[in-house]
Amino acid sequence: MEIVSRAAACAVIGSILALLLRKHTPELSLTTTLITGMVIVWISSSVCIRIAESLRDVAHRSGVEAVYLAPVLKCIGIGMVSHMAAQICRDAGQGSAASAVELCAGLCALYTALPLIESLLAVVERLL
Amino acid sequence: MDVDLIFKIAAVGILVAVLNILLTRSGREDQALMTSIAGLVVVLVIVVQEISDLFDLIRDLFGF
Repeated sequence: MEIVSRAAACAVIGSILALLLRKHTPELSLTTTLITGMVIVWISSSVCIRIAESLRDVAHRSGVEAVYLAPVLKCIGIGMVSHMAAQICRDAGQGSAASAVELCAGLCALYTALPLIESLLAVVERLL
Repeated sequence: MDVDLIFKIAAVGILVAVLNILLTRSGREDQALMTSIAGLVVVLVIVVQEISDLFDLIRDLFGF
């Protein structure tokens, strides 16, 4: 609970400071919002580490090979990074850069999921 | 990488903004531009280091 309140405080302070800088130096206000986002992700990283560990532990104990879990985690990471980058580009008013980042993230996520799809097809063929 | 980083970046931004206004008022627009570019470079150097730390963390976490 303490992490959420710290993140909320950082977000509000960061956006106020960014708004302060918007009129005179717009580029520095964008870096302020960028750093605010990074600090909040850094604050939530301790929770993320704990979740990733327990996820791997559950997968190991339930017999799921790491081959199947790795793409899932990778897709989560890709989604997180690309969503932040796209939103920051939209803050700067560059909607086209944001959609380009999201397109690239979608392709990369599909690329990491390809082995899963192929192994699924192999299983289905073996059944038929 | 902590909360004071936000204040550091904002402080540089406010300083550059004030310098900008002073220089433009006294008629030196080119130096005002130089000041804002210098402030931006300083901030970007700090931001790039923090972003690389964060991406290392994400790489370890999600196994890129």
